[in-house]
Amino acid sequence: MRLPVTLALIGPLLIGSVHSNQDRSLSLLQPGEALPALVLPTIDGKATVNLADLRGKKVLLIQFASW
Amino acid sequence: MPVWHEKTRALREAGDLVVIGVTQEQHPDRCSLYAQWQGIDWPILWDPFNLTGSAAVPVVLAVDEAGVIRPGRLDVRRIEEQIVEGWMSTPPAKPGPAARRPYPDVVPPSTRATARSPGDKAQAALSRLLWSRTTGEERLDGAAFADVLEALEKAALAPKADPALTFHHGVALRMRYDSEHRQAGDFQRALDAWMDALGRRPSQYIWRRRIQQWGPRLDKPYPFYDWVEEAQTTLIAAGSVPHPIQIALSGAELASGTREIPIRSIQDIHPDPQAALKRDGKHLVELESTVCLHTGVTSKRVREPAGSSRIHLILRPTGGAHFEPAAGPARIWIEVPTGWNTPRQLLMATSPTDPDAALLAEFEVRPPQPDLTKPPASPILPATIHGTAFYFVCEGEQGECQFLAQDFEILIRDPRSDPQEPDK
Repeated sequence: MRLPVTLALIGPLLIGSVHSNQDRSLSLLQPGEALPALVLPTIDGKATVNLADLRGKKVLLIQFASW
Repeated sequence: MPVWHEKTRALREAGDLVVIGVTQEQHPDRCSLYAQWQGIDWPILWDPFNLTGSAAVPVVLAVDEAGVIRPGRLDVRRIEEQIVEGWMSTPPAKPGPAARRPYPDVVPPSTRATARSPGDKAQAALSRLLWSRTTGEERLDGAAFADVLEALEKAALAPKADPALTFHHGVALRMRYDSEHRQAGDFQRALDAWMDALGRRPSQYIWRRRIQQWGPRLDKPYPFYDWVEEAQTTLIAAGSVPHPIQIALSGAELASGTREIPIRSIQDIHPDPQAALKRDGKHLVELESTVCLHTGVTSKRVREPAGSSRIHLILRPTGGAHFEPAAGPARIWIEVPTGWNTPRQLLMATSPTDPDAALLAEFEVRPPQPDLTKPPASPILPATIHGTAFYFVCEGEQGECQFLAQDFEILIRDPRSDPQEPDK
């Protein structure tokens, strides 16, 4: 009986982990891969940046929310 | 982010490091105010559709000269070791792989080729929404909003469509809701789309937070924009003009989380128990309700009984009518179903500062906790909240001003059993 109980306990954690991995794989920003050629405006709308144009520089890309 | 800003200052000023921010917030003006308040001077990109596909924030990534994202988790407490002594002292990286181009049609509209396939049209729609603020001729009118929403909905409803497309459609609906071209139900349909997308990808926390921003306190991980007033006060005290907040903050966006909404302890008195007040037969005021459910409804686990929600009510004067500020706030009386809880039955709408402005009122409801040891007697949802709004409104410039009442019903439904209607 121990095995099913253990599975019952950790099952949701495993499922959660699978979901997390799936979501990570959907991200365009993967370690080991090149920044995609993704074009976005700045928050003030005054400029546009293509992430792929950042080549040639050491870049820190910070994804955040103001809350 | 202020810590990263401070810790990278010397490297940025020496030209050794470029810092770029990306925010997935629906409203970029709020992040602009935050950046102004914190003195952040590096560019921040606006990604409300979450095209980067990130599952959560914050995430800090180091990208080498070859454009390749370095492995490993960056920790601001180890910045000296990880970045200054480690990364900065390594020789320039060799040329990396070619960059993928996942959204080739998401570019400023002025540089975009004509979209032909449905997928191209959806991307073209995203670019119009992303850049519509900055290019005057591209500012969206009502017809353009209808076009982009149709393209996004068509993409979202295609067989085996990625739920991200449904999320995009919701973002666009909320954008129209925030515009002068809003249509009744836009906000509700945005929330329904986000809830649908989240139900299909439950660990997408960018999407979950978009709903929780307007959701009940029981579902709030933190207050979202409670810092705004402090930021504005601090900037004004320093002699600066705060970056304007374009879209008014709702009470939900300022509220803190809680584990229990208070049981009603005040016995409110009905303002018009005999229903004697004249009803608003001319519909001088349009009343729109939007139900933001607890995101737990997307899960099969019973984290919170389905129906726990925050209701957003908006009263908009129509056809030249206007509210009279001197008459005080509009009042709302609500009747929840038997067994449901709401802290107050009598609500005050926001006071009208501008006579033409809409009035807002918000409240939260929670259905009875299910007894999990017994089979459910009857489903909790759908459920209906009944209510009456009382307001003082004037017809036109010289028209009659009077107290009027408007009865309403709010249907709380389970989005899992009642998918959103197609775009009209």
